[in-house]
Amino acid sequence: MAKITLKINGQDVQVDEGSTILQAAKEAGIYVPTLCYHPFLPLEEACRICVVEEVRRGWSTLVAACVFPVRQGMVIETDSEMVNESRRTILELLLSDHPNACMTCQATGECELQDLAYRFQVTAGAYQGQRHKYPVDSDPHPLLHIDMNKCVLCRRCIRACHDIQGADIWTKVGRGFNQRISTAFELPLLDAGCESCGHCADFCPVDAIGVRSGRGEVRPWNAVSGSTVCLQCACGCLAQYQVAGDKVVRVRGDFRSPANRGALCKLGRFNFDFINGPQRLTETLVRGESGELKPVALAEAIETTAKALSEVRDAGESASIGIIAGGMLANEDYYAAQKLARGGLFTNNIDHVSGPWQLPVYEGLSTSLGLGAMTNSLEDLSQARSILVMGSNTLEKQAIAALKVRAAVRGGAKLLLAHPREVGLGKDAKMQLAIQPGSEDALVLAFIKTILDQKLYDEAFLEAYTQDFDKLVRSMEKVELAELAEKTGLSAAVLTEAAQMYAAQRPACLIYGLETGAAALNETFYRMCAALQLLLGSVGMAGGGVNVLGAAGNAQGAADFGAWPKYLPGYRPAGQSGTKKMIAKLWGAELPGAAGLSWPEMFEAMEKGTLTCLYLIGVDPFSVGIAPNKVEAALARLKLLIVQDCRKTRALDFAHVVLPAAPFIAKQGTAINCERRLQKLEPVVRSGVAGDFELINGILKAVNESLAFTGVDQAFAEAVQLHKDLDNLNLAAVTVEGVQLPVSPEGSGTERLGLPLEEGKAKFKFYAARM
Amino acid sequence: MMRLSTIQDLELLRREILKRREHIKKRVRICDGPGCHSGGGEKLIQLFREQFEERGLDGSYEIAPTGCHGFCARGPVVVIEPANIFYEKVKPDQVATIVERSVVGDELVEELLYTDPETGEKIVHERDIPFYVHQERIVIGETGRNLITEIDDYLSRGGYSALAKVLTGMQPEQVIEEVKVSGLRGRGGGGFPTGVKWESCRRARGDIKYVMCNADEGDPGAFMDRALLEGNPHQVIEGMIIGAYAIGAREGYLYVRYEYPAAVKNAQRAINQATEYGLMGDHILGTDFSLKLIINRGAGAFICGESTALMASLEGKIGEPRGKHIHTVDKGLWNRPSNLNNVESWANVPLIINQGGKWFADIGTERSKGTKIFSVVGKLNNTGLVEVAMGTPLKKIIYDIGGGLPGGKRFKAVQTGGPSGGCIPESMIDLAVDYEKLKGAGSMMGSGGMIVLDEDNCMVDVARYFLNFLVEESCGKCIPCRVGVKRMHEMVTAMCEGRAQPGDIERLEALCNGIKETALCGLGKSSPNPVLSTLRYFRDEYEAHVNDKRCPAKVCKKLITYSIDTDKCTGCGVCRLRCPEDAVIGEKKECHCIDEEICVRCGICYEGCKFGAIVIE
Repeated sequence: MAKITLKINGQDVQVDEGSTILQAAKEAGIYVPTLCYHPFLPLEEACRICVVEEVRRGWSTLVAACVFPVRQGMVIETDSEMVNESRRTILELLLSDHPNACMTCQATGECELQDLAYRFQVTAGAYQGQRHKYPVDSDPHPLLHIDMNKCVLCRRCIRACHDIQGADIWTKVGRGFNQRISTAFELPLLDAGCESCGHCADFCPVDAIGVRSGRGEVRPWNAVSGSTVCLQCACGCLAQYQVAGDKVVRVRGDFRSPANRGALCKLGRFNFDFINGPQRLTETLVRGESGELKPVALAEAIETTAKALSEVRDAGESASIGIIAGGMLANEDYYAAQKLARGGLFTNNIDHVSGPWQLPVYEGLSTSLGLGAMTNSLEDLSQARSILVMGSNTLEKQAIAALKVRAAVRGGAKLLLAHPREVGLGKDAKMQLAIQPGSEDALVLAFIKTILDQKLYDEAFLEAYTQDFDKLVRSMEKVELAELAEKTGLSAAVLTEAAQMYAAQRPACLIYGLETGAAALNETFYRMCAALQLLLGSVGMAGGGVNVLGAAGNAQGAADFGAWPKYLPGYRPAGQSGTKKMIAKLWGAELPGAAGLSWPEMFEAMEKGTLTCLYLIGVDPFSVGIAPNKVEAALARLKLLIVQDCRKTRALDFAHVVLPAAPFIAKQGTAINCERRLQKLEPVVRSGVAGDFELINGILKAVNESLAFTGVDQAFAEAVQLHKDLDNLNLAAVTVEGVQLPVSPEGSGTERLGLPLEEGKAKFKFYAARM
Repeated sequence: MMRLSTIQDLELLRREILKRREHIKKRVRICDGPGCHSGGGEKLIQLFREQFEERGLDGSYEIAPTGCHGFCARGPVVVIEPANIFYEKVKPDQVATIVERSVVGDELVEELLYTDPETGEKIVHERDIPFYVHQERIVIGETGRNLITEIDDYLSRGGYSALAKVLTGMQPEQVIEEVKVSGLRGRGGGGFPTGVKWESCRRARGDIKYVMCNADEGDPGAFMDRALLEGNPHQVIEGMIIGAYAIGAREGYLYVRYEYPAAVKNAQRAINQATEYGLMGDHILGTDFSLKLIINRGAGAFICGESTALMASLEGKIGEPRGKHIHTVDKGLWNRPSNLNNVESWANVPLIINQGGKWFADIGTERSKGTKIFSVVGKLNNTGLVEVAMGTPLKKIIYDIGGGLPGGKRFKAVQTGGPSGGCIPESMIDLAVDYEKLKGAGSMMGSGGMIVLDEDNCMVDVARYFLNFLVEESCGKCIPCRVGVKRMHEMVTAMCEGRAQPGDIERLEALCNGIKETALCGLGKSSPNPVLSTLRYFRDEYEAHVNDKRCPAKVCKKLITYSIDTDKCTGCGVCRLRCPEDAVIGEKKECHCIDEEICVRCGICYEGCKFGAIVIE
C-alpha cells in the first residue's frame, strides 16, 4: 500500500494511504482526545473533541481527526492554542448539561468525560442554562442502570446495539438540544426487544448506561481487572473481569481475542452469581458414620477418596468406576481426569457432559472432511451469503455465532432458520422452517435431494475436490421427498423452496448448534451436512463450511484431551494396541482395553447396580436432561459418590465426599472453543479453594504417585505429545489471540479447513445417505 | 398523448401545438403562486371560469392559472394578454368587470391598474412597472407565464428544446463544458461551480450515479424554489435531465419539503407528462439515454437541506449530516456518486444550453455569473420575488425594485442568507450583491432570502429570533451545535431580558467563534452568523442591552416601559378600554396612567392613541 508522509506537530509521520489523522497520530504516539470514537465501532464523527488544526498556506482549519483522511504533505497541529481552546469549549458545553456529580457517580475513575475534563482542566460552570432532568434509573431493566442525565450523546450505544448485537434497540429520539437516546416509541428496554447483551453499557463512556452490579458498593479503583476465557458456552470469549476481593463486580468484553472481539452475551456478562452467590461451595465434606456430611481437611478427604477408589480397582472391579466431567473445565483438567480413570483406575468409563453430542460430530466430520470439528472460524460466518441455522437457540446458547450470522444478514445474506420454536434469530430470517424437533437430518436430506434433482450443485467443485459422488446419488434415489417432508412436518413445496433459496447464493454456510439435552443426531447427519456443503462448493472458504457449535464451554477441549470413553487424547481409539503400548510407555501404567461407558450408559449401569463409584467433576447430574427421579434412583444406589464442584447442587444430598473447587475464572490452563481456538486461561480471582486440576491430581497422586503431574504445564506438555494437531505446541508462544487447531509444527494455526487441496492429497469423500 | 420517438418529433409536436393555439385571441393569466393563492387566487380562477362559461367564451379565449408573478405585495395579480395589462389586488367581485371590459371588450379597468407611487400615474403594462423594469427575470419570468397544468404550454414556448439540443449531438463532456463556461454557481447557498461539480461526478467511479434536486427550501421568508417548482416544474426537470445526461445518471430524486404540497403535486404531474411524451423514462426521444425521476418528500427538518443529511434522509435514515471529507459526488446516496443541485440551479441549465454559456457568463460580476432570485420580504413596500443580475447594488433592490420602506421609516439593515446568514447595515447599502461581497460583509448568499429591517427592529432581538429557529432546527449530532446554539440563544435571550452581566458580550463572541470552528456541518458552522454579523455592525445595541439594560429600538419588552405623557393625554379613555390587561387607570376626561406592574408591553395603547401621549422608554 502506498505510504503518505505528513507532519504532525512538526514531526514527520509516515502512514498507509487511507489512514485517518487519528490513526497517524496514534502511530506517532501523539495524543488526540476522543469521545464518540471507538476503535471497534463504525465512525460517527459526532462529538468533535478530536478536532486538530490543519495548517494550510496562510490559513488553517479544524478537522475531525477520527474521520479525516491523511494527505501527502499535510501539516497538522494537535496541541495548538486554537485546538485546545476549541476542545475546552466543547467540554464546557458538555459539562453545562451534565450532572457533574462525580462524587456519587459509578463511573468516577473510569469515566471518559471526567478524564477529558481533567486532561484539559475544564470545570463546570462556564455556561449556565437549561439542563435536562430525566428520571434517574429510568428503566426497569434488571441488569442495566439507565441515567440519561449523564449521556453525552456519543451514540456508541446505538452503534454497539446495531453493529455488534444487531438488535437495534437504542436509537436517537428528538433533535437538537432535546435529542436523547431512547428506544422505539420510548418503550422500556425489555419491551422494546432488548436482548440484555449489555454491549451498550460496555461502550458507554460515562455512566448513562451502566450495570446494576457493584453500584454504590465498589469504586473502580478498588477493583482489579484481569482477562480470561469465558467457559459458559462454546464460543470461548475473552472477557475482562473486574473483581473486588473474591467477588466479580462487572464483566466486559475483551477486544484482543478474535473469537469475540469485545462482544459478550448475556450469560458471559451477567451470569456470575455462581461465583458471588450463596450457592458457592467452599467446604470439604465427608459423610460420616451417622450419615451426615461433616467438614474435614482437604487432605483427609482426598485420602479417603483415593483409598476407596483404589480398593475397588484392586478388587478388579474397575469397570464399576465412572468419571463424568463438566463442560467448564480446562483442557488439563480433562487430561488429568482421563489419566486418573485410565492409568490410575484402569477404566475407560470417562466422559464429559457434552460427550454424546460431540462424539457423532467428530466421527461424522473427521471421516468426510478430515477434521472432526467446526470447519470455519466464528469471524468467517459473517462472510456468508446464505445461511442455514439449525439446532440450538443460537442467540442464547452460542450467541457470538448468532451475532456473526446477523452481521452476514446485514451484508445481504439470506438466513434460513430451522427450529421448532420461535427463537431469537427469527426476526433476521428470510425463511423460518418450523421443523419437528430432531428432524434436522431429514431437512438436510431434503436439501440434498432438491439440489441433486434440480442440479443446483457446483460441478466444477465436485470434479476438483470430491470423490464417490455417485455413492451419494445412488443412495438418494431411494429417498422420497414426501417422506422427508413428513418427518420434518413441512410440505415438500416449502422444503424445495428453502433448498433453492439456500443454494441460490454462495458461499452457503451451515450452522448446527449443539445443545445438551436435545436429541443427539448420529454421524450420518454430519456426513450429510458435509455432503450438502460440498455440493454447493461451500467448503474451504470464509462464509462456508459445516459449522457445528459445541454444547459446552470447553467441549472441544474435552474431546481433544481425551475425556470420553471411546477415544484417548488426540482421538486415539481406546483399546487399539498401538495406542495402548505407546501410552503405557509414556505413563508407565497399563491401560484398560475396550471402550468405556458414555455417561448416559453410566446412569443405566448405576440403575442396574453395575456401576457403583461415580466421580462428578463440575457436573450437576440434575441438569443434564435425565428425569430427576431417575437421577435420584441412580445416585442412591452408589457406594461412592464424589462430588467436586464450585457450587452446591442437589447431588450433595447423595455425595459421600464433597470437594469444593475453584470456578473457571480462578483457573490456570487452556481451553478450546468451538472454532478450535486454543486459548490460555488466567486466574482473575483468588478463590481460596483448590482448582479442579489440583484436586484430580491429588487423587491421582494418592492412587498412583508415579502418574501425578508436577503442575498444569506439565500436564499440557504431556498431552500434546499424544495429539498430532497440537504437535510440539509451545504454550509460551501462544498469544492472547490463541491458536486454532490443527497447529503446524511451526506453531501456526488453521483458520479454516482449507482449499485448495494440494496435488495428490485425498479428496473429500461422499457417503451414502441413510434415513 | 403520443410518445415522441425521435428528436425531430419534438419539433413537429411544438409546431402542432402552436398551430392549435393560433386562434387564441386573449389569454388571462391569473397568478396562483404562493402569495396570490393565499390572497384568493384560486377563487379568482374559478370565478373567471364561471364568467367565461356564462358568456360562452369559446376556445378563442384562454384562462391560464400560472405560477408566481413575483409582485406578491400587489397580489392577487391578473394579466390580460396579448396587451400585457396588469391588474393588481383583484377581488372576486371585480372579475365580472374585468371580463366585461378587458376580455370581451378592449378597455381598461382603471381602478385595478398599478399606480406609480412617485408620479401618481397609472401604469397599464406589466413590463412598465418599476418593480419589473429594474429586474432581469430570465429564470423566474416564465413561472408567471406558464400554464401550470399543461406541458404543451411549456413546449409551445420552446420547452425541452435545450434537451433536444443536447441529445442532438452534444457529448456529455460538451454539456459540462458549456455549464463550466457559463460560470453558474450553486444557487442553494454554497456557490460551488456547478460545472465543476458535474465534472467530478461524471469522473467519479461507479456504474450507478444519481442526480438530485434539493427542494427542501426551509429558510424563513424564502420561497423562490417553491415558486419555481410549483409554477414551472418542467424547467427544473429539463435541467435535471440534461444534468443526468452530462453526468451519466439513470436515476434521480427530487427532495421536496413536506410543507410544499403544490410543489410535490405539480412536479409529479410534470414528471408524468414528460414521461408520457417520452421526454423521460426509457430511451428519451428515441435515444439510448434513459432517466427515471422520483419525488421524495422531506419530513420537516431544516437540516435535510444539507446535502449529506438530505441523502441520509433519502436512504430512509434519520436526516443528519456527516463530514465532507468524502465528497458526495464520489460517495453520496447509497455510497454512489451523486450530484445534488438546488432547484434554481437546475432551472438555469436549459437557459445556458439554449443560449450558450458565453451568453450567461456575460451577465453578472467577475466571479458570480447570471442572475439570482431573491425573496425580498420584511419592512418593504414591494415584497415578492425579485430576480436581478449578480452584482446589482443592494440599494437598487431595496429602493428601485422594492419601492423603499413603508411609512417613511429609516432603513436599518437587511438580513440575507437565511437563519444562518447575517445582517448588512445601512452603511453598506451600495454593496453589489454577489457571493463574495456578501461573504465579505459577514453574511452570505444563502438561498436568496432578504429580510429588510427598519429602525423599529432591535438587532439583538433579530439575532435572538434566528437563534430560536436554529435551536429548534439543530439536528443534535455534534456538541457545538446541539449545546452551543442553545447556550447562545440563552445568552442572547438574557440580554433581551436585561439579565446579562458585563462581559457576556465577550463570552458570547468566544462561544460563537468556538462553534464556527468546530461544528460538524455548514448549518452548525454558520449558526453564530446572526450574532456575529449583528455584533459586527450593531455592537452598541448589544452594549446598551447589557450595560444599560436598555433596548434602543424599544422592542425588548423586559427593557421598556410604557407611560403616558400627562401633557398630551386628553383622557379619551381609548387606551383604557383597549388594554387587555387593565393596566391603564384614570377617570374619563382626566389624565390616565399605566400601572407598570400589570403592563405586558403589548403596545396596543401606543397604536391606539391618537394624541401620541403614550411614551415608550
